[in-house]
Amino acid sequence: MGKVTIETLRALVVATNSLRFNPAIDPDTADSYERLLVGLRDELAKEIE
Amino acid sequence: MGFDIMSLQKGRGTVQARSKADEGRAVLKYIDVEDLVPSEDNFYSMSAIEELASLIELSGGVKQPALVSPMGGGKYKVIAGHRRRLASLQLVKQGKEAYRKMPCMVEDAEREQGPEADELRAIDEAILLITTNGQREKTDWDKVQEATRLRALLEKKRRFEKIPGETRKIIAEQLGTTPAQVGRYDSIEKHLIPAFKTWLEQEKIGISVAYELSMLPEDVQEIAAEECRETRAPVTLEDVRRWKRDAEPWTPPAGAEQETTGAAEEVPPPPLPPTENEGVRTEPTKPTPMPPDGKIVDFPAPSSPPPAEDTPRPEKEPMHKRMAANILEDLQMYCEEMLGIEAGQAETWMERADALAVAIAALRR
Repeated sequence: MGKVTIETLRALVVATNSLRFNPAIDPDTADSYERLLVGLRDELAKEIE
Repeated sequence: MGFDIMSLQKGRGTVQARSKADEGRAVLKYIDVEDLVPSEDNFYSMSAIEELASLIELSGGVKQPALVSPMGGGKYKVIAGHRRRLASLQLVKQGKEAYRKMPCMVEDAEREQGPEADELRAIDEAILLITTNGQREKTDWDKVQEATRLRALLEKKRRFEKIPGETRKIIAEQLGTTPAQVGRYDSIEKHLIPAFKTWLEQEKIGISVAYELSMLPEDVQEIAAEECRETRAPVTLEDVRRWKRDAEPWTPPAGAEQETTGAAEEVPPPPLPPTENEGVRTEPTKPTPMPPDGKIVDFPAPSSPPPAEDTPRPEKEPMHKRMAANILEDLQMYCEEMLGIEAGQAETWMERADALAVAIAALRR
């Protein structure tokens, strides 16, 4: 994978918004996916070059 | 009178006051946390959500309202309050419905419409995102990002209206620091090579070392980074000084030139004035105090005069879904690779890869 940049983190936020406000996705599912993506975002921001 | 960012928080800033429709103040509303949309410009880390959720529970709810702006369709974009939103969501997820409605200050919905007003409002929202996060615990990297983004936003805002005062001073006031420190952040942003920026982001180096590194030529920084990767030792200011010494051209000892060349009468050319793009890099540095154990306790302010104002950086446009999907595809592959590398965390990486796959599909739908 290439270097993690602020764009990667922004892309993750765009993704969580798409999940949460997507009528085709159950809100509970969207919620659990958001947690996963937020966790990934924090980990990337801290640990991955 | 100087530029007052606080006026934006009251909904009475210069942008809002362009028409009568924009003179209204923000109103307090209790909004379903499911209807709050995170801002993609929020670059702060979202740590300690569980601790915050516990605090909210102890306090009987969110006491400090978030700041939001209406998006239409009953949704609101969060300007300040991303962690509160996530913590409340967590409580709701645990079946604690009492936390579903979160207090929010909503910007006036009956505001002026039009491309210019919308653009100005977007700039103000982004400025507020930074200036309303003053209480948050920030890393050095956060501070550099704050200063950089605030500068870009102010420069962009200046294209629409006159903002009195020096950008560096305005940024310093808003971030509760000094103009000299903002100058250091600028130098780091402009001149530090990506490898060291990553280390700063990962808190492997501090702001003082990052600043001193940013004063070195880029090729010297690259060599230094390579050395650090090989030795795996933490970077100290002493290391930076050594790299700086190594990079300087050799000059004969004082007096030797006069004896051998007889050039005592030659007058050296006057130093060239710094160009606009050289920024803080051309400024000489004061020696940094070093305690006996070699650890860095502080670093000096750049020598006067203060660094010249930098040229504005173009502000980022909202990320397109297609671009986000492309970036996340790369990330999904990374998660799948990590499945095999971190066997103990395989389930987490698998879940993340799955979440990314669904997100990518949603973005491309």
